Amino acid sequence: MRLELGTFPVTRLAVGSPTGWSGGQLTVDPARLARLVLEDSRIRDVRVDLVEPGEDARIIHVRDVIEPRVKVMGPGHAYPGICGHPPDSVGEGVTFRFSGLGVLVASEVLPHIRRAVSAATDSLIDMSGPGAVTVYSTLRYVALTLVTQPDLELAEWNDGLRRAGHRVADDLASSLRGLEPPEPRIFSLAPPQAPLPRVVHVHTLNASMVPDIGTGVYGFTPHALPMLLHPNEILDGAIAGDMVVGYPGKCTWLHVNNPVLTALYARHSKDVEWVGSIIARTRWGALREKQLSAYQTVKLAQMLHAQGALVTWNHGGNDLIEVMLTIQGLEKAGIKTAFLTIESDIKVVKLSRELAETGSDEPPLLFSVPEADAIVSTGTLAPGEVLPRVSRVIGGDSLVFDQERPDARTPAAGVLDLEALSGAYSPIFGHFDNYGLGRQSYYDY
Amino acid sequence: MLRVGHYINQFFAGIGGEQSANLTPQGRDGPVGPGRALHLLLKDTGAVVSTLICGDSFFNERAAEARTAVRAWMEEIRPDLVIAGPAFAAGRYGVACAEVCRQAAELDIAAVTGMHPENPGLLVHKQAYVVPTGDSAADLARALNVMLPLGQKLASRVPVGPAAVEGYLPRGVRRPGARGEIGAERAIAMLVAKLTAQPFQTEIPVDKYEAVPPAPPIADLRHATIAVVTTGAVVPRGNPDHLKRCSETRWAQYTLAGRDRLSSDEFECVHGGFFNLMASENPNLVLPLDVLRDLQREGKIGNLLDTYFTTTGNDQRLIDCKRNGAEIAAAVQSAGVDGVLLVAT
Repeated sequence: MRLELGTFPVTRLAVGSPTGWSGGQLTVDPARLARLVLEDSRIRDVRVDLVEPGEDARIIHVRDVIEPRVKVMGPGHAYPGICGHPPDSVGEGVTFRFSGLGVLVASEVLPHIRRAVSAATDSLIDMSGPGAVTVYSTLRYVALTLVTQPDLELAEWNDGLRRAGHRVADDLASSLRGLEPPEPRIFSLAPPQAPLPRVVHVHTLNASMVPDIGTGVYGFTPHALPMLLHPNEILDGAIAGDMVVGYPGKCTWLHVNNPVLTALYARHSKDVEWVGSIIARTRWGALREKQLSAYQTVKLAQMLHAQGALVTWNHGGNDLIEVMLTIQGLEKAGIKTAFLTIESDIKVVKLSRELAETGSDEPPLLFSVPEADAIVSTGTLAPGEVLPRVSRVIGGDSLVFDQERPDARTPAAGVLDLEALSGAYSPIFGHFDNYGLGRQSYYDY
Repeated sequence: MLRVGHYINQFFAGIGGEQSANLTPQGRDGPVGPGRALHLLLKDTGAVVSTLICGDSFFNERAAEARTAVRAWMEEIRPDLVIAGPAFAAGRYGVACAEVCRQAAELDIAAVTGMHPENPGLLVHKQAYVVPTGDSAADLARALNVMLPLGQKLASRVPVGPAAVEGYLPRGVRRPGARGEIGAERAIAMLVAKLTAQPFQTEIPVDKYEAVPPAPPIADLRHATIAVVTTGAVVPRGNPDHLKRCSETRWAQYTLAGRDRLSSDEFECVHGGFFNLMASENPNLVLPLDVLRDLQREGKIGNLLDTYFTTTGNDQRLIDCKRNGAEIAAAVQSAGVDGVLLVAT
């Protein structure tokens, strides 16, 4: 499977017509994008904003970020299996993409959905200042603030928002057809000339217990037994997030920009032979299900003759049980593991010295097995200070920090002391670095 | 001039082995035994001004007296730095050295000890700066060469770096800090090192789990009073105390009086860690009042406490778990309960 990925870096956004990319500048026609979005009757209103890194701006009610990608040659559609895209296997041919750009969907959670889905939390992105701690503060955005019909059921609300986002992303990416990409790159898992240790990426992904939502593979979200993906499928958008849950590891932009894939490709044919990514779903309800998923993952790795496994996960608490059972099983089968993980910094919303220090009162991992002897920690992204007042707010005007008190609203433009407002859960979009984009970690003292 | 106080046991003082282990604490001017090597290492930067010697049995069996003696010695000598041991694999000596470090910390005096990583002394005072050593005095010179520079750093109040950099054992404290490469690259580098038998160091050492001894069984359930405690966040409908769906810090208690089962008109489940619709439609799935009432009627349990206790277990900080657990246990105990049915989710 050979994929040519043509990258068009975006270094400037401008309003104008027609839509197009030239020399790093992306010209966007907001009226055209608004018309496209409003073709769906589930969307009542849309506002299109352009947002740049470093701006004195806060984006709120962030539901997902999508990197515009388009298949210009080869089978299938970028982001297959969702928004009506066919489920044809992707990963071959030529795909064009914008780097440094996201189509951001912002929409306030409907009250009945907030009541029903605890993970449908409010989130925010600060584009500068002490809250600009994640990769999402470094991107340029075409931000859509959407108002939907008020009575949409969960699945319809998710689909309506997602189609709006992907419609716009498709439209922007389509403008690249016929251009010469400034940064072309070939991705293939051609076997190395001399034998190298065979490594599998065990790519565990949370599956939501709420039907129809959460991270999907080719749009398929329910719990399922493990499957094998070629990394090029992931680069073509085979793993995509929803518009509902607020947890960081489900963002659609993140999965096509997963630094683990980049790091493994950089080592392929040099230090290791990468044999693919096993997708294993997590957050099963029963121990036997957790065990079955772990054991089948190990078996697939054995059938691939893997000698090593790089294990990642993207969300959860009890999910860690099946992740750890998988690590234990792999090690017992003689497959050496390294595990890339966040720490329990879910408890650290503001990085005061006392709250940042974990270990003595808080184990860094909720659950572990003794076989997990090679772990990389992606530390904490909690800001060290309260978030200051901002002059521009995109996505709405107030935030709900406590799902159980939806009427307690905080003005979004003001000073936000996240520790006081949010307790132990950070509302910063992408506040966990699940895949090691950054250098932050923890040290034992 | 750095004033160093040195703590050693009877054996290293050359007084004797097990037969002298009851030796009472006694101070000596200047260095004794391994303190002489320490003294030489200090060169002209300082001196071992006093040595406290105590028998290992004395220190462990008459702990209060030993602590008082250690404290009196430090208050008299006012050292800038206390060096304890190293104790190597000697368990009672390790416990004494850790206790000496604790006393020093309480007086705000810098202190370092050395022990084998399996010495039980490590459990006494986790915050102590402990340099890992071999299991015998054969490692003395090397150990002192690590202990002294660390102690000098602590005494000069220069911030001390991470355990792996400075050469001490992790003290149960983790602090954020950046590393050379991004996380994804470190992970594959660690895997490659492991696959090719090169050295690597995990960034999260995995702790063994603490075993909780079970309470003795109830002799006769038919005469016992049972209470229900759940981390499943079953609350009266409307969630009057606004129990959070995750990361809760509190617990709450509600009445079961006069009810045969929990109806969905009166109760709901607000736990956010699982799809709680079924539990809200039938709260007895999480808090099995229906079955408990049956058992009560059948005489299989004596009595059921009219109050139940609940919190949201989902993503609760350990520090809050411990406090909530202790508070609920105290409430249950004062209600004269013999046994608790703890329903998790």
